[in-house]
Parts: sequence; structure tokens; C-alpha cells
Amino acid sequence: MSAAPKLEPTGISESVTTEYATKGVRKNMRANLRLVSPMRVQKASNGMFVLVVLSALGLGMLGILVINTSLAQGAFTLGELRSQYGELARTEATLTEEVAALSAPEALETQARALGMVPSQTPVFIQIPDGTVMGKPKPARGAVIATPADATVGEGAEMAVVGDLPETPGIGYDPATADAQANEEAQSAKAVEKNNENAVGVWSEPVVIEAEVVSEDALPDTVQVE
Amino acid sequence: MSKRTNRSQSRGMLDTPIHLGDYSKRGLILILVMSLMFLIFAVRLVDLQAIRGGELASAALDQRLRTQEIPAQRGMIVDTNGTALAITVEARDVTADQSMIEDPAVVGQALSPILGADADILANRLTGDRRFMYVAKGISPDKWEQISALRLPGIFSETTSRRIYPAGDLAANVIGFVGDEGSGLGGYEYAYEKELGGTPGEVTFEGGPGGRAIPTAANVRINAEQGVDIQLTIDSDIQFVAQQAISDAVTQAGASDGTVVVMDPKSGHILALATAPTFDANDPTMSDEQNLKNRPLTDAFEPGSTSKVMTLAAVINEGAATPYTPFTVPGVLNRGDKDFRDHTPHGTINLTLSGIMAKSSNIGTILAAERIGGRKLSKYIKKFGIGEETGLNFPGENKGFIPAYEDWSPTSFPTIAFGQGLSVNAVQAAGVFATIANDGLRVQPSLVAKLIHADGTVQEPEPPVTTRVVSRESAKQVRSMLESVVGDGGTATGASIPGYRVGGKTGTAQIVNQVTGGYGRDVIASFIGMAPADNPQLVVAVFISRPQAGRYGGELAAPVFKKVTSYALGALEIPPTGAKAPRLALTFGG
Repeated sequence: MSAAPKLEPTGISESVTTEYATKGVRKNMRANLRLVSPMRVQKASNGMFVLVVLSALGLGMLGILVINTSLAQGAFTLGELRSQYGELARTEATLTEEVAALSAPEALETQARALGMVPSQTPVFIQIPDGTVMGKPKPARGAVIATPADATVGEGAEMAVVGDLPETPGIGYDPATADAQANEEAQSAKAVEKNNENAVGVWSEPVVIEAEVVSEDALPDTVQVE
Repeated sequence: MSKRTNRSQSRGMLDTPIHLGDYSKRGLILILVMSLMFLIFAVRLVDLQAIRGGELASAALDQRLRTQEIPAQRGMIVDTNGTALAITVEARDVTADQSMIEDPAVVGQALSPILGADADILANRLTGDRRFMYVAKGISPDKWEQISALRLPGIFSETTSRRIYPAGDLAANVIGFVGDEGSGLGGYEYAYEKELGGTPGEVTFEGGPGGRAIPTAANVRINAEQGVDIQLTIDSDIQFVAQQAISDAVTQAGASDGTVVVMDPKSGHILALATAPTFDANDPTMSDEQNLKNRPLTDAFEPGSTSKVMTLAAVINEGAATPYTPFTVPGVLNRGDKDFRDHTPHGTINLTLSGIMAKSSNIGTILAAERIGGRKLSKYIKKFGIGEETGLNFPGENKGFIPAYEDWSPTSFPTIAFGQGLSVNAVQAAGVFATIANDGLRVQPSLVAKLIHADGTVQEPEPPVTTRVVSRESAKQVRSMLESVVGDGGTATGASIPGYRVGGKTGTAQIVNQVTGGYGRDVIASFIGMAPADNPQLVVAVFISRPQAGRYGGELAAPVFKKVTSYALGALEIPPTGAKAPRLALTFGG
């Protein structure tokens, strides 16, 4: 602006455009120089610029807000999941320990004895389907730790321990009947010089149950009896 | 400003040259100053970015980078059925900042019932100025929850892990134990430390001043390689019965210790390796150091009469005799300036080879062994695996000893023939019978069934080395002789199991006195047997050291054999074969 100090500003018309002025300059080279004002253009571009900058700022801040919010949300979820994980891990650890302790042989033996079971003296197998008894059954002896009050005491001194067993739920097993049956079988077996007293497995369970349990597994391995 | 001045000057004094000021000089100074500044910036920039750039960037990164270790979970040890024998669970170490605790007595009182420790001792520990110390190590998360709920000032916790042995002393001699740092110090926990321990991983991330990770920055994570699970060949039920039986027998006989080995002769798998007294793997420091040993492998002893099986198997395999070959056995036999006698004095008797086995005659065994000579006998004993490592890779294994044939003294041959002057460990002794049980083919024993990696891949061990020791027919003949030991007139009728054919051999070996070097009164009573004898699926060896009540293998060890074998036959669902046992003539001539 200081480049044209000698020029008196003539009446600046708001309607004069830059384009017009340029044309004028070209037509009359040195005459009629007029100061043109780029005010309108400047004003318009300034407003646009401010708008762009402001919106960029706004968008940026909004972006930061969104990111921060989502980070906070993420951190919150993370914290929640971590504490949940910690809790579940603790539960798992406790349960693993409990299961392992309960499935240890010593714990199982204690529980089996509490149910009235005693270790058998000799392993005996019943072959399905012909019912051949493999091995020489002997009544199991041993101290029964706990005997439920409702258990029926079996008949015969030899069968006393086996007969003390409680009824197994869900199988509909009556110890008294089963013992009587077992005894009958033993009597008839003795008559034909066969020792078909009762089946004795690893744990001396009542005759009917044990026969089912053992024979199923033992079948494939069963060796023919001569 | 200058604009206005110029204008007024031009109006007032048009002739006077307009003084515009020294633009060029000012500009020059300005340019120089600016250039200098930019130069300084540039130099600094080059210095920071180019010259020291790498160094500074890495220093900055170092400030932000944090590395955390990701611990590897220790592998489990399970039995052949997958029952857990050793597991690792999450635990807490309780720590304290003493300076934050105002009233240690109150805090001690509060912690005492949860930690199960004396309140006064706890209060003592909590008194002082230390900023960090451990109050209790490896407590369960449950207990920490209780402590945490008390909101005690100055009491903190660290997450850690704890090794637990749910079955306590079950197979503790095999599994071993871990130290305070959680690494194996004994047994397979020690031998397989590398596999069980795994490799810890680490995560490296850029953290802000608060220590929290910068979310958008890259982080490097090397996952921990979890420890390998080890499945043993041990069957924990059989192990339990064996451990109980030997423990009872040791107590009843007032013995110093005892051992049971249960083996599957076909696969070489050891199903139980029990010793008594033993220790609680959860608390090994409470036990005597002697009881931390795995005696079946770390202790070697003279096998005594059970060694006669090797001698007589060699005699039969060489075709020098059959179970029916008659021997005239004198009451006293002089060899190498020494008189040998049998444990029950007798005059001259007529025994078959079976009779020599059944009556466990030392003199008869020497006479039979003389038919093949020392060189061959020594070769057979080595083939049976004596003096050689079992291949179980157990730390501290004693591989036994047999002197080289060249070094034998005149009395070596007769004594080695009936089981003195050589030493074996319990697994080797059981291995001799397993070889006979497996038709003369020795299968290297094993205790580790497989390694299970964290990704589920199963690593089977190398197939066991097998060695043909005696022929199938010879092994069969030896087995029928072993049946006569358990049968009527034998030394171990107490080992018979009703309904089953059982074969075995008793032993009552004198223990060499460590001080005098001679034999003392102390013995090892043993019984090693197999069932069913006509198709052996199980070999069970029982050894009872230094019994005070009772002395002979037949009376002390045979009942333990019967108890363990009966149970194992049932548990493994091995039915009796139903065949009748042969009756071999033990004597002749009447």
C-alpha cells in the first residue's frame, strides 16, 4: 500500500470489482489509476478461514473427546474384566484344589469306608453272559466305620459286613433280599461243588451291583474257563 | 508512521531529497541476526536429529519402555489315569510396610486366625521401619480375600503361584518336591525341571509417567511357554495300597524301611513305586532327610536269595539242567576256604532243581551254577541289567554293582551264585522277575508315560530298549519252578492268592555292616513274585529292611505281596486264567 503514496484515494465504490479495475488499467495505461479495495474478497475468505479453523478445532476436540471417552470406557471394561478374571481364577484355583484333594485315593478310601465298604480279600470276576465265577470268592472282612441306622443287617456271620451296606439310591436295591439271594446261591453252589457265593470286586459292594459294574468292564479281558 | 512523515515532507519541501532511512543497513543487520539465529537452530537441529539423534531417541524410548515378565505356569504331574499328583494353583504372598502399621499388636491379632500363626509372633514381625517384608507366602486366594476385607493399613499382597500335592505323601518319593522359589528340588520335579517349568514370556510396552501403557504405542509381547504336563505310569490307587501295605508292615516288623515295586512286565511300566517311611510333598522340610529319598532307586543292597532266579535261569537256558534234574545236596559245602550252609541245617538231601528253588538252598544253587561256570554266570547277571542304569533317569539312582569276572576271588563265584557279593536296587531286582515273566525278554522299565505340551501335543518317550536274556522256554520253566515256592512245601505259602496261579521267590539277605565290613544280624526280608504265573501281567517286589520282629521274606514280605497283588489284579481287571498249577517234584528218591 505504501507503494502508491501519491495517489489520493478517490471515492471508493463498493460496486467496483477487481476485474473491472484491471480492465480499466489495461485500456488506459497510466490514466485514471484508482485504488481498488479487496475488502469484500478479504472479508469473505477470512470468514471461511475462521470457519474452517474453528470447525477443525471443534472436530479435533470432539475427536479427542470421543477417543478419550472410548479409552476410558475401554479401561473401565478392562478393569472390570480383569477383576472378573481374577475372581474366576481364584474360584478355579479353589475348586481345582478341592477336586484334587477329594479325588486322592486316601480321601476316596475314607469315603468308601464311611459308606460301609471294606477292601476285598481276593479279586473275583463274573463272566457275562454265562455267569461263570472266576476266582475264589471270600467274604470281605474289615471294620466298618459308619453304619447308617436304617441299613438292614444281613443274615449269616460271614455276610455280616457285606450286609451292613446302606441302600444305594436310584438302583432300588434291598440289601436284605439281595443277601438272602446271595446266600441261597451259595448254598446251591456248594451242593454242586461250585463256589458261587457272591461277587467280590475291588470294593466289596453288594452282589447285584458289583456284578453289573465289574462284568461290563471285565468282559473283553475275560479268559475262558476250562 | 514513515508514510505520514513522507507525505508531509513532500508537501512542505518538495525540493529536499526525501530521507528514507538506511534500509539496506538495517535489513542487513536483521538478515544477519536472523541468519545467525537460524544457523544456531540448524546446528542444534543437526546435532539433535542427525548426530545424537539415535542415541536420544533410544534414551527417550528407554524412559517410556517398561518390561513385565509373564510367568509360565508349571506343568502338572498326573498318574496313568490322569489323577492329579502335583498341580500349581494361584496363591498370594502377604507383604507388609512396617512404617504404615501404627499398632502391630492389633494387626497381628487380626491376621492370626486367618494365617494360623501366633498373634504375638506376627506382631513382632510387623514392628519396625522396613518398607517391605513378607508376612506369609503362598496363602490361598480365599484367605487373602478375608485379609483384604479387613482393610488393614500397610498390609499388601503379591500374586504368585503355589505347588500343591493333593494326595500328600502319595508317590512323593517319585514326584519329589519344590523349594520356596517353586523350582524342583527332588525327584522328577527336579529331573524334569526344564520341561515342567516352561519359559517365562514378557510384554514390553511404552508407558506414561503413571506407569500405564500408552494405548496407541506399539507393544511387543512374547507369550510364556507353559510348562509341560508329565503323565507317569504310576497308578495312584495301586500306589496307595502299596504304600499303605508297606508302611503297615514296616511298623509291625519294627523295620527301618521298606519298598514295594509293582511292574507291568510286558510294557516295563512301573505301576507303583512305594517306600516307607516317606514324606509329605507339601511339607518336605518336616521329614527326616533319609525319608526324602526314593529308596527303590537310590538304595542298592545285596539281593540274597531272590538272585538265585538269575542263576537257575542261566543254568536252564544253557541247557545244563532242567527243573527235574536231581542234585545231591550235602549239609556243608567247602568252596574257596569257606564252608557254605543252608539257612536250615540239614544232612545230605536229594533235591531237584525245582526243590533247590523252592527250599532256597544255597548249596544246591552253587552246585547248579558250577555246571555253567562263573564267566557265563557273570554274563547272564549283566544281561539281566545288574550294574547298569535302569533308564528311568531318576536323580541319584544307584545302579548296583557286580565285580568284573576277572576280579572275582575264589569265594566270589559261590557267593554271587546265591546273591551275595553283588548289589542291586529294588527296580533292578523286580526287573529280573519281569524278564522271566515276559518270556525272557527284558523290557527297560519306565516311569514317565508321556509328556503333554501346553498346545495339546503329546510327546511319547522313546520305545523301551529290549534285551533277550533267556529263551521263552527257559523262562517258562523258571516260572513253573517259582510257582513251587508259593505252593505247598515252598518258602512263601503266605503269598498265594486264592483262585490265581502265583509264582515268586523269597529272600533274606544279610546287610553288610558299614562299620565292620562284615555281615551283621540285620537282614533285608524280600519277596518278588508274579501273577498269574502262567500268563504274568504283574510283577510285585517287596523289601523290608532291618526287621526286628520276624526275619524271613516268607513271613514278612509275602503277606505284603499278597495284599498289593490282590488289589492290583482286581483294579486292573486281570481275571484268573483258570489253569491248574503244575506240581513239580521237589525231592527225589524219598
